[in-house]
Amino acid sequence: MVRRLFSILILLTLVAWAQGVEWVAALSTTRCNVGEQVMLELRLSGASSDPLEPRVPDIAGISMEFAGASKNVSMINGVTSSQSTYTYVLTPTQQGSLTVPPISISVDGHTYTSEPLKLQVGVSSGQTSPGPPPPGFPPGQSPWGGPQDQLPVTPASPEAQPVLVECEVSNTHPYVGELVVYTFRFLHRVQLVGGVNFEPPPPTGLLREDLGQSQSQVTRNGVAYAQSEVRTAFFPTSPGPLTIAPTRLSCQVAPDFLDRNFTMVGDGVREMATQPIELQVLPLPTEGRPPSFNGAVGRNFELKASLSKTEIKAGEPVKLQVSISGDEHPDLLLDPALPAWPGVRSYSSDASALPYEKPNFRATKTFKIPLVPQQAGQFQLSDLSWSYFDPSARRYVTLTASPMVLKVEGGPQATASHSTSPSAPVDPLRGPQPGVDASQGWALESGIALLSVLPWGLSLALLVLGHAHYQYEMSLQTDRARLRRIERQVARAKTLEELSHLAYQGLEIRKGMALKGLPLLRLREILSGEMVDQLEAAEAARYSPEGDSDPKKMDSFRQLLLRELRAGDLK
Amino acid sequence: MRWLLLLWLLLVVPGWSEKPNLDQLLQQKRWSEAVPLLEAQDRLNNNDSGARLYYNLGLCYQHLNNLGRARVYYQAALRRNPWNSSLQSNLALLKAGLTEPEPDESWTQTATHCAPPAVLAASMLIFSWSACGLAWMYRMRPRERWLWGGLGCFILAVISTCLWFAARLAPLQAVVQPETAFLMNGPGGEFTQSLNVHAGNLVEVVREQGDWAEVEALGKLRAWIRRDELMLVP
Repeated sequence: MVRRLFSILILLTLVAWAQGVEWVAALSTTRCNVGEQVMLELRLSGASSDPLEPRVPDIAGISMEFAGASKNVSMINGVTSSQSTYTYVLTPTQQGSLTVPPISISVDGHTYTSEPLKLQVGVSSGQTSPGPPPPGFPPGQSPWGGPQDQLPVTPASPEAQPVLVECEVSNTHPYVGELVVYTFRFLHRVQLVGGVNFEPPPPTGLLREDLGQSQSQVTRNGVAYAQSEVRTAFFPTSPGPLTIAPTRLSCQVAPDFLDRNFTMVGDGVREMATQPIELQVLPLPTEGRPPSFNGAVGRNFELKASLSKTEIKAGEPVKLQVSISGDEHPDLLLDPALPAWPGVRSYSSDASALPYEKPNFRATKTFKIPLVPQQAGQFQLSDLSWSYFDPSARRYVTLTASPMVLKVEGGPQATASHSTSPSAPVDPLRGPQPGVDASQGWALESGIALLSVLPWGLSLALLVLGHAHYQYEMSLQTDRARLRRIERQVARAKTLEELSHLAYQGLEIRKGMALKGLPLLRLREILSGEMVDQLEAAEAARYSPEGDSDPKKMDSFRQLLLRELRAGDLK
Repeated sequence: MRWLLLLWLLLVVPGWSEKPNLDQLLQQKRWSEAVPLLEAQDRLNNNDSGARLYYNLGLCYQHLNNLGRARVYYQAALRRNPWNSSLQSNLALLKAGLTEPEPDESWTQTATHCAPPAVLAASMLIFSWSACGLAWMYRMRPRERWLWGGLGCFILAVISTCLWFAARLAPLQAVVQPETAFLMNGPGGEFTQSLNVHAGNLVEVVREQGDWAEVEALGKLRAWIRRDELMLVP
């Protein structure tokens, strides 16, 4: 009986082998953790007709979802061959060694069965034991998040796909404000024509920051791909279900006719989109929430506090600088609540955030808080604490800054503080100033400026007038001017002596030489005879008893003199 | 006659009870009572009072937590007497408490209130006249000390004049009064919103158009704000 069955089996295998039908099942990985997704691929090749859908039994400890089917038909040298692929997503729900049983498919009246597959399921990270879900989480749903791989929209065996898109999130069950890294990958093994149009998902209900891009070479099932990876940090802002919309990408592939797996679809333009990702945002627990908590969620936070000065005078402000670093979005890092330090008054802070670090998101936000000590003395500024929620440990963590010492020197306030209780508040504002002072509006009047410019204006005027006067004086010293003056004086002269004196002056200017005191003979050579006679007559009339005012003589002398003075050009 | 005397006593005697004067109110820290008296005195001076009155007004409003008005009067006092150390201290505390911190003022802004106007005017007059007189003396009888003295006085006169003009031509300043005021990109509510400013922020008024004023705020940001949300610095 056994021999007969064995013979039949061999015969069937031979027939199948002779026909080239191959039915193979394969897992994307043989080891995974609870909650992680594993791809189960069932491939039928060599069938001449369309097969019925395979019968996949339920598997204990594994939830299964059908992801899609594809068929690839090729003709080479007149021989037609086809390949059908069925893809399932398996999600183990319990740890241990699980077995995927043999799966059957009927083709052309024959039934083919795959080999069983082993899957080793371990414990997911961050989980010591599969204990109860965190409080507030709806029952019946898996509470544990973990890396999940999303299938591309275009199902098929990877080596048949020239381009692929896929995405994943670091955590599908984050807490409000917790960092979720969304990774989008674009793989292509063919040349692309032109650029790639990339449309990221809109950040609805999320705060979003880019974490950069990277390029690398990866191998998928023995096929090399060029991979472009875009990482984005998302921070959910409210609890409840949240959907990250698909990422869309379109590109144009170049034809590669040497690739036997290549099939040209249309003009080579490929439009792809990832599946939307459902997040279940968990609310922060209320139990154990410290008073200094104000919404920050993350891991490995650092708190630093320092003073701009450690010694000041009473009434002077000092800046307290508090820096908080961690994997939380800066908009969700709020002002730290200061403890009630006696004798110190605080004011509104000024916040600034540094550019966050990439590729692992880490942001630093600094708060500068003005403090004004209200009395002199030494202040111990301690107990400055700040809290955050650690989603890994699922507990609140409180950080405390190192204590700071502030020395305040005071004038009169220092002595007063010794006599009163240390906690007696002192007004940091200076007191009023009694009395009334005069308005200073007059000081900005235009008249003041004019008054200050006045001496310079006066000086300028004096200089100008003086120069003009000098010019005038100089103009009076010319020969022509002197002759004119002499002519006027000649007209007004009353005596022959005066006329004689003016005659000498005028004729000296005319001749350009001194004439007074020259001998008579020399005078006759220079001047005209008539003029010399008149001069002699005038000289003699000085001693004459008739006097030297004879009008007739004066007129004749005057006429002659004026004639002589006006005759010719000046030298 | 008796009745007239009685009537006179009834009218005048109540006034005999000693009203606390302004200095007493300030010493007793009765800020809200002192404010009306100070403002009345300022109105009598045609909004051109001395630095001390504006300082006291600013102090009263600062104690009454009205940052907008306190800043207005402190700025007015600063223009008139920037050497007042109490004013400097209180103004620093007020600025530290502003919701919207302001950038540090530039050197040109500092020049507008580096010395009281009276000091600037006096130094301008004195140095100008001295320089001129020394120049004339040097002209009459050239002596080196008169030359250097005249040059020194001339330089000081130029500096004093520049600072005086800086104070004289200082831009019109105003202070935001409401807790939060919106800066708009145009003179109307239909324009898009720019930044916000808060009570106590100092702005420079560039021009006015209707109910709106174009201002320079928060370090050379030009925008429009409602005129009634500002109070000019006297």
